[in-house]
Amino acid sequence: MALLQIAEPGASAPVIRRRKVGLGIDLGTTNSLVAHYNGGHLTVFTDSQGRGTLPSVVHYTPENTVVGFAALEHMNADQADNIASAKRFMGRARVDIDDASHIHFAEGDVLAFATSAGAKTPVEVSADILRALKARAFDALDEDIDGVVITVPAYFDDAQRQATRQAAEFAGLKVLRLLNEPTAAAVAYGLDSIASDLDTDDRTIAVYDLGGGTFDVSILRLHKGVFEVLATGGDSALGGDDFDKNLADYFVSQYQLSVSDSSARRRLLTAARRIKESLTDNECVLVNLTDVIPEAPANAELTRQQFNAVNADLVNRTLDACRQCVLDAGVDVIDDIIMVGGSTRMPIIKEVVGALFANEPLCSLDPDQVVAMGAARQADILVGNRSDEDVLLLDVTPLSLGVETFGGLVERIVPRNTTIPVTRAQEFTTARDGQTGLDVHVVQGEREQVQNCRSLARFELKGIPPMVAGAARLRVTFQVDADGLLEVSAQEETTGTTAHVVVKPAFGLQDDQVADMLRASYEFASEDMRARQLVEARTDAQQLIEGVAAALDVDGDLLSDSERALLEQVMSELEAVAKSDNADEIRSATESAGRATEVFATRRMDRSIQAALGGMSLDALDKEFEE
Amino acid sequence: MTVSEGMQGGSARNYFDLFRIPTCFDLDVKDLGNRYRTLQQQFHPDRFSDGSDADRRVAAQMSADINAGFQILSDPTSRAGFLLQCEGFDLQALEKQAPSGEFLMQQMELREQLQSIPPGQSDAHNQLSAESRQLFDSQVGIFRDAYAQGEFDRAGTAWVHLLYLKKLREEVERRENSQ
Repeated sequence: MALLQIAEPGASAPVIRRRKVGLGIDLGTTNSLVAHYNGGHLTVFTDSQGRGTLPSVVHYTPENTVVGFAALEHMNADQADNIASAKRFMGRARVDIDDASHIHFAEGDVLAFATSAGAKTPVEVSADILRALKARAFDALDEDIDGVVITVPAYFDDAQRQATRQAAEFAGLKVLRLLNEPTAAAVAYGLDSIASDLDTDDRTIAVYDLGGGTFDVSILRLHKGVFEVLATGGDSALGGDDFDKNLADYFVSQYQLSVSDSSARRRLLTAARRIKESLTDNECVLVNLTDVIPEAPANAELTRQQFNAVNADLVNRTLDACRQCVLDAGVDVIDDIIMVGGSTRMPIIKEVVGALFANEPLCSLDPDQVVAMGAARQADILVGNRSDEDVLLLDVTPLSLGVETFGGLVERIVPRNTTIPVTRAQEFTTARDGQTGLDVHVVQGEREQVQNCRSLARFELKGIPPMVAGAARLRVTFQVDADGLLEVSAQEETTGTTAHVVVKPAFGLQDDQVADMLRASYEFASEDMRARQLVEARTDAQQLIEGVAAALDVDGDLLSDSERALLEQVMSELEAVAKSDNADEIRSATESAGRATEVFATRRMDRSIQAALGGMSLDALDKEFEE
Repeated sequence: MTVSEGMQGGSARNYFDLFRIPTCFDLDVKDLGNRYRTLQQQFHPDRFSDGSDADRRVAAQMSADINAGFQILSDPTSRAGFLLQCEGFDLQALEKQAPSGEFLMQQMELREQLQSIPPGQSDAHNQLSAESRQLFDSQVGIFRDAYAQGEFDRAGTAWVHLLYLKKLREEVERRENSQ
C-alpha cells in the first residue's frame, strides 16, 4: 500500500495508533458466533460455560431482554416473547410473508413480532443478538471494538443486506464489510492449506454450505492472493431443519403417530434432530419416541441408509444447485471443496458432494465455526492491521438488478454474478410526447416480469423538458459498492436534470422510525463515549491533513498552482475547525475537505497504475486467441 | 420508460490505457487477467478501508472501472465494439442498422434449425454448435482484418454480425444445457 499511506511529517504531532480490534461475526439463522484474529492467533469467543455458539434466540419481557441459551429455556413457555430465526425475516415486509401462522406479528405494515415488551422488528432482534456477541468479545478482550465483518448468505438481496447493516448500527458496531458466508469459509481455509499454493496457477474452489435453515453453494477462484467469486447459487429455504422435518414426518407415517399440538411437534422435531446427529457416527440407532408421544414404539431401529432414503430429495436439490452453479461459473474442474455448516456432518453429504466434484471435501476446520473464523481474518485486515500478503476478495452481485420498462418488463442493468464494485449506465427515453417525469422503479431478480421480481425502490426524475416521445436521453446509473449495496441515479442528458436515490431498506421502516431507534441506541452513550468520539473525529481530521501534505510532497506536480493553493487552503481551514470541541462539526468538515481531495486522489491513482503494471512487459505478450 | 439499446459502461475511460496494453483487437487474455488482478489488488476499496472517505470513493470508482474494463476487453465481441467506440462510432446507432437480408435470412434459418432439434439429439446439436462457432470465428477474422486496414465501416458491419452470432451461440448453449 504505497499509495496514499499516512506518512508522518516530523513537524506535526504524531498520531499514536494502537493495534485495532476487528471482529468476525457469523450472524446465523439458528446460531451466531464471534471470532477475533490477532497476528496469527484465531479465537472463537465462548460464554462462561465454554460454549462457542450463541443460539440466535431472544426472549423479551417488559423487564428485560435475554439472548442465547438463556432465551432457549423459555422456548416452550412464552412462545410469543421468544423470537427465533429472525434472520429469515430480515429485510422483509408484511406482504412478503405468506405462511407464518405460528408467529405473532404486531399490527401494522411494518413487519414486527408482537412481544409483551412491545413490537420488535427483525432488525431489532438481530441488533440484540449482535449486542450479546459484542459484550462477549468485549469481556474477553477488554478493548474497544473498532469494527466488525458480518457474514451474510450469498443469496441475500439488497434489502436483506441493508437490514443486516442497520442491525449492526443499532448495536453500536461499525461494519467494515458484509461478507458472503462461503467466501469467509474459503478465507478461513486460506490461512493454512491453500496459502502455501499461492504461487501455483488458479485454484477453483467450491464452497458447499448447508446450515440449519439455508443452503448456499459458491464457486470461487484463487489466483495469486485474489479470491474471486465466480458464481453463487443455492436455496434460501433449505437446511438441516428440513432433514429433521422429513424424519419427523417419516416417524409419524411409519408409526401412525398422532401429533396433537405444536408442543408435541416441537419435541418430535428435537428427537428427530438428535437421531440425525447420532447417525453421523453410527450406522444404525435405536429410536425411542415414547418421551414425545406415549404410544410410539419404544425401540424401533433406524439405519443411516433409511435416513438417507427419507432425505434423498433434499440432497438431490442441493446437488442440482451445485451443477447450476458450476455452469454459471463456467469451470470444468474443482480443485478444492469446502464444507460449511453443521449439516455437512451428515456422512451422506460428504459422500455425494465429493462424488459430484470428483474430489475429497475439506473438513478439517469446525464447519460451525469456519465462517466466523474467515470473517475474523478479513476483519483484522480491513480494520487496518494489514500486511502485503493479504488476500483480496472480489465479490459478485448475487441477483440481477434492473429497472421496470414499458409493459411491466424488467430491463437488466447489472446481471447477476457481476464482479463488484460496479458502475453501469443504461440510456432510456420517454414513451409519450411531452412527458416531463420519469418513474424509475428499481427491481432485483432473475425474472422477466416486474411482478415476479423484488421491488427495491421507486423514485421520480422530474423536470424533463417537453419533447416528442423518444427524443429525451435519460441516463440511469447503477452503482453497487463492495458490500453489494446499491445506489441509483437518473439524469436527463440534454438539460442535466438529475435525481438520485440510495436504495433504502424496503422492509417498511419509515425514516423517522429508524431515527428513533438510532436515537434510543445513542441515548445510552456515556460521557466517555462522547469524549472518545471527539478524539476520533480529531484523529481522522489530522490524518487527512497529514495524508494530503505527504501526498503533495510526492505528487504535487499533478496539481496546477491554483489547484494546489485551493487544496492547501481547505486543509488549513480544516485544521482550524479540528481545534473545536464539536465532534459533529469536525466530522462534517473532514467530510467536505475529503471531497475536495478527490481529483488529486484520482490523478495519483492513475499515476500509480504504471508502477503497479511496470513489471509486466509488453514484449511478453503472447498472441493467444481465446475464440 | 423505454430502453434505448446500446453499450453500457460507467465512465469514458480508455480501458486499453487502463491496463497499459496496446489498443488493438488481438490480446492475450491470460495476460489481461493478470493485469486485472494486479490492479484490483492495489485499487480495490478494501485496500483503503482505513483511508479517508474520499480515498474510498475514488478507489471504488477506480475498481469499478477496472471491473468494467476487464469485462469488456476479455470478450471479443464487446472488445470489438469498444475499439469502434474509440474510433468515434456511436454503437447505439450502429446497432440499429439492420444487417443485409442475406445475413438475416441465414440467421433465421439457423434459429429454425435450432428450434426443430428434438431433445436428446446431441449430434445435431453439436453440429449446429460447431457451425455457429465457425460463423462467429469468420466474422472475428473479418473484423480483425478490416480494423487493421482502417476500414471501420466494414469492421462495424462485422461487429453487428458478431452481436447476432453471439446471441445465437448463447441460445445454442442454453438449449444444450437444458437437455
